[in-house]
Amino acid sequence: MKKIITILLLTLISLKAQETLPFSSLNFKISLQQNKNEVLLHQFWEPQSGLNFSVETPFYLGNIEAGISKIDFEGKLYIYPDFSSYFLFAGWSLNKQFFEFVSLKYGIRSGVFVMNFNDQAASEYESTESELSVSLIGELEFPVYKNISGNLNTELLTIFTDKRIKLFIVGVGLSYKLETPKWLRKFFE
Amino acid sequence: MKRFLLIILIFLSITLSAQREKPKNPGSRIITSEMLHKSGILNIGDIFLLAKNTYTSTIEGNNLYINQNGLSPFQEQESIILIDGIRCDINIFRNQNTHVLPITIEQVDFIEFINTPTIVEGEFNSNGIIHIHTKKPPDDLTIRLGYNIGNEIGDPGPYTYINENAKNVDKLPMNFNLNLNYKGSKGYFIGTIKSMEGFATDESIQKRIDNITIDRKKFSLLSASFKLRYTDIGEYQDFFFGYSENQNYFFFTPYGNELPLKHSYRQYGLNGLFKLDKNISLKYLLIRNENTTSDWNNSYPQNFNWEFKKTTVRISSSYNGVFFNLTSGLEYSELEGITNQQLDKSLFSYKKLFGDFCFQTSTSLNQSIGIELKDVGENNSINIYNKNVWKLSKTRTVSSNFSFSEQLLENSNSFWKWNKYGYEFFNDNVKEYGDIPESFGKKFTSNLTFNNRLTERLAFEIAGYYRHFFDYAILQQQYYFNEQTNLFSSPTTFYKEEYLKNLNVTFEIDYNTSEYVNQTLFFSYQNILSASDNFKSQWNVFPKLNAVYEIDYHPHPTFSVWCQINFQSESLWNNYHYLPEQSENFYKNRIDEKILINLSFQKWFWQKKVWFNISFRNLLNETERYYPIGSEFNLRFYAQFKVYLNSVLD
Repeated sequence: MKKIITILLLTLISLKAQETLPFSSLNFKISLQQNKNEVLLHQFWEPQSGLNFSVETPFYLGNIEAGISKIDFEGKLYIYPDFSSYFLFAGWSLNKQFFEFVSLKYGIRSGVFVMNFNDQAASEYESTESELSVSLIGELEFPVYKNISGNLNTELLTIFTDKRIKLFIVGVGLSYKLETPKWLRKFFE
Repeated sequence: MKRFLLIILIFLSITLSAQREKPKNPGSRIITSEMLHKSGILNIGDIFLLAKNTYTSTIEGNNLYINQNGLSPFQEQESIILIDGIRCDINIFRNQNTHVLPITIEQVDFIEFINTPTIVEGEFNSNGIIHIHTKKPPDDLTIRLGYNIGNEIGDPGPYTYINENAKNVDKLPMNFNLNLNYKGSKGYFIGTIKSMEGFATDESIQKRIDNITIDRKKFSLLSASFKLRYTDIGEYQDFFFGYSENQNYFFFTPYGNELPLKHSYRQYGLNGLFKLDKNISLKYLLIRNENTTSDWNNSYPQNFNWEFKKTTVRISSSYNGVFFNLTSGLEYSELEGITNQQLDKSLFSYKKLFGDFCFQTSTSLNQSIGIELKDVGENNSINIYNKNVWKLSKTRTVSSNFSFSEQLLENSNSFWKWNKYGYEFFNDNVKEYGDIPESFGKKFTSNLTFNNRLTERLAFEIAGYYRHFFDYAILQQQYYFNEQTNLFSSPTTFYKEEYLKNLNVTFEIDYNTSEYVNQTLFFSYQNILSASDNFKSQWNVFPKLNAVYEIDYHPHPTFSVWCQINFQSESLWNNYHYLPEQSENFYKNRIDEKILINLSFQKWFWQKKVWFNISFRNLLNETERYYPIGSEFNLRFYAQFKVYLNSVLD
């Protein structure tokens, strides 16, 4: 957490004024994800392919987003029940334009990492677990067709369980950008 | 401390503080609704996060021990809490859980921490007063809705299937609040419902309550209230009703352990104001407060059933002249304690006479003196104070306050009072040595404050206080831990004629760096000048040093980031002196110095009709504990959502 705060402070210091109007556009994103690192968790559970869905809009400074990602984990032995994870997050990021068409996005997400265990013996109370999680994200975005863009993304997710779980996630996805309807912009403001 | 200064320097370097309105009464502090929103305050019990120079301690996060401005030791609690001038007697045996107050955080307009002994709305309290002022409803129908969830880090997650000993620590309380108001041409109606639900899952508490509970340690609170104001007779006539039911693990100090208790609080009454002419007004109050305790979720019979009924009638008048203001009144109240044991005396009646005379000595000097005379049966008490505000110039003010007060056993709702009149606690752990004192003691207090607004953007305040407690009764408990039962035994010894002299200095600077950035730095140091040994050991639970830095960055009227860095020096808890040894270091007898960082983001939507907040508490995940045997709070995360729909029918 201390590292994340340091990075955040350094990022804040290097901030420049936002050029885009706040809430002027909505960027719907979907991406296929795969957890690629090996930590203690992976000795007992095998991660499956996941899916991430988010909506992003320009903010007073940088962009903000809200979204959800889902990754299933299969137990390697029957004593380790399969579980589905859902990361419900809000995020903030900055853009850096490279050349004319490629942009690098980097930022932070924070939210709740919910784990639903497929454990018949556990009570309703015990079979669902949720934990604060924070992730650092990086994304390379390039245009595909009109308002549609492609992206390659990475995410370093820290789940604040008693023994921290760190997941390195890579993904590929598409996004569709549209102008925010007036009524919605009024709501945001 | 060095780390605290370093963190402050980092934040100052990026020039990001919280705006604070200056208090109306010398020595008091104001917390506005705006500050509550910016800092992500969750509920009424959470307001102490913003209360400077107020020491609080809690075991599980609900019951609070409060010391406002060095006015009292923690031993027994009697802060007066007023909601719009109406006293809420939520105390059970001088223990208070502010969550029980039948009010929601959305209703709050501002909160006044009155930190010097004075009379407010006919109530004198030498331990300080917390006055909650609610918002007046706008025309037509208003709907306010609030919901929050939270999460504390440190759960085992999937590793619970690898290590069976791993325990769940999260499940922070969820709050739901609803307010419905309607204002017409002849008055208004305010209705509220609130609920709170959580789990006592901290290991230190679980160990104790495992023996006495039959459920999975869930606690809950349900509260409802309404107020009806009619403005066609006099200035206003109010009828109010509030009800709260709290099922919780109540730490009963004389017992030294938790009791699973169902506490019901009921309050109803009438009050009103008449203006007899331009300068003279008359106020009346008729109120009944009822507190009931009963068994809840027990695995063994505890039989701690009580019913306290307090009825109060008060009439007061005010004269507001050109050169002086005079407020005076009289009050009659009765306190009845009903239990299933035969008591020697169960009904106590009190008569009170009070007055506050405020006069303008010169164009720049305002002075006031106040007195409260109380007849509490065999004994009488007298409380007096003097306040002075001297305006040196438009920007500089000096204020002072002096008081003398005495607290009588008969006047309190202390357990020991009922014990004196024949009540026996069901468990042998509650023992006392020495005679129960007639008086808790006398106190002389003085405060001096200097305010100076140097520029439009920069202001500072230097303040100090001196406290002299004498002829004081100290209730000294020595807790012994039983490893087999995980419970404590804690005999109480009464020491009389104890004394303490205490000095405090505070410094506060408010600096609005720019249109978008406000900063506040607060520093407080207190030290014992001289004291008897027993009093000293009670006072050592307060940190000597407290420093708070707040920044508020609001680049847009609908968005802000707020951060608070709070440093507290260590405190020593002599009551638990032998605990580390007895519990094999599971519990400690001190609370280490700590730096807590709290961060809050707020965003308003839809022309300030919808509010969303994300806040983090204890961002560095330091050891956050407020009581040696209490919960340890890790990094927490809260998400809040509120809807404010004003004048819906318009």
